Amino acid sequence: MDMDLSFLTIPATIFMLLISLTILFILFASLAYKRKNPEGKLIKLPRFSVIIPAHNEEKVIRDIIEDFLKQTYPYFEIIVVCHNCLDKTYEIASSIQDERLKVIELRTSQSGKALALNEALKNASGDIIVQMDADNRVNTNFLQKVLPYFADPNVQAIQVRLGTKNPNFNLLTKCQQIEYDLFGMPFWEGRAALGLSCTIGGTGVVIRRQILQEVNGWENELIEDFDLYCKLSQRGIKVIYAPDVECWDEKPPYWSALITQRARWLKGHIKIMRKRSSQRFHPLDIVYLLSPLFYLPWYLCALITALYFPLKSLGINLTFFFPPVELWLFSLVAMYLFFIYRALRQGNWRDIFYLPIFFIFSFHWLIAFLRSFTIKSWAETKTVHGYFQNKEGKAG
Amino acid sequence: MNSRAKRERFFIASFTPLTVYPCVIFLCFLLLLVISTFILKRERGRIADGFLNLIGIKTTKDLLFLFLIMLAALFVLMVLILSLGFLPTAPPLPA
Repeated sequence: MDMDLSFLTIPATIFMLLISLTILFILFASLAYKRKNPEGKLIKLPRFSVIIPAHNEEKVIRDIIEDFLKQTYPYFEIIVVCHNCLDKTYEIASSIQDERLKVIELRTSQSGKALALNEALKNASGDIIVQMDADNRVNTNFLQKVLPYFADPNVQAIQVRLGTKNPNFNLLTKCQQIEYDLFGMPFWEGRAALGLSCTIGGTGVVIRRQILQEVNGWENELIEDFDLYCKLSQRGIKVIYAPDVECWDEKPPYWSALITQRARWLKGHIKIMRKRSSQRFHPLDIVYLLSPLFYLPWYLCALITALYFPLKSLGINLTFFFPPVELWLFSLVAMYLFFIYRALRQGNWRDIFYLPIFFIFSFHWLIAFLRSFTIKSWAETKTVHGYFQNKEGKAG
Repeated sequence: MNSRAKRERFFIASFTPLTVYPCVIFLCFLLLLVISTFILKRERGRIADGFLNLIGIKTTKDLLFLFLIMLAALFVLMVLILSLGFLPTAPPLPA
């Protein structure tokens, strides 16, 4: 018996190719990216409100507070919101005596980073909000470097470069560092080169308080950062990528923690995709919005391929069409050539040695996609921090 | 000795490429893990962490996830290899 499944495999593979080639296009567009120096003159020095939501962050909270207290720019306040903490985060943060630091203890029946962020926003008095995560580290000139961007009255929000705090903790954190340096950051540069807004990365976001208040802060989503990006995009607000300002965050060092974190991102992304389906987006943004669905046709095609031989032995002959494998090979080779070029350009030539293991690592998204169906709440998937040695934990 | 070598050759040839290829690829993956860990250890030049910790394994759940990830990568590589026509024909059986 013959069974033709091309009606499934053709649209599925076209969709997968569309996403792959769009991502490749954005990556290669980053080659044309040139950082523009911020323009404009500051009439009045703004005051920053650094807001740090914290949920059981006793191992890392002191470092980020101290990093900000050492800033060379003088006008700022730090607001730490200890949200439903069961450890000593509140005690540690409150033990630091400084009039620029405000520590709030928040208890709610619901969980979610957005709740803590909104509480911090309510208490903030600065003109510009700096949203950081508790596991981050920054250099002492972080605010000084952010400042020139806001001299331009048209700049409403910026996203700073995200670095890895613990790249040498183990192979997993190394692969994540490579992923951010050779894929994530070029992706933002490519978007900037194409004149698109930078997507928001959940930390290292600097935004005018007035804008945040106008959009009613953050929604309590699994990935509240992406939802904020959609809200800003709806109002035509462009987020500027600031590659010269950097913050370092801690990457999960164990597979289960990584898969859980990414499963939350995927589930949150799919939820927002459904929520924002009626919103108008740039065509490239639509592809980005649909990107988590990439794994669905992948599983479909994999299942059909895997069933081919067992069904054949039962007398059922599956026929289907896949695009030529050379097309996939082309996108794979092009992407890895781009990674090699990027690593050499950044002077991180040693990263090239890890690219074969990075190839295996990249398949974790497929497992995270399956895991995302079991994600129920933000609290159960919260990434645990504190996996770094002091020597590596230092920023800069 | 000669007959033993012949027997071994016959033993390997008796497996189909669909069995040999995944095993070889899986072994390559393991080798890659070992080599990458070695490079990482040399690069950071300190702290003698265990191999499992260096490849991101703390609990059995981590091990399971790593196995599934390797399986997914293996599947894709197998499809690529087979689609490119690298499947060799079965060697002639010794007389």
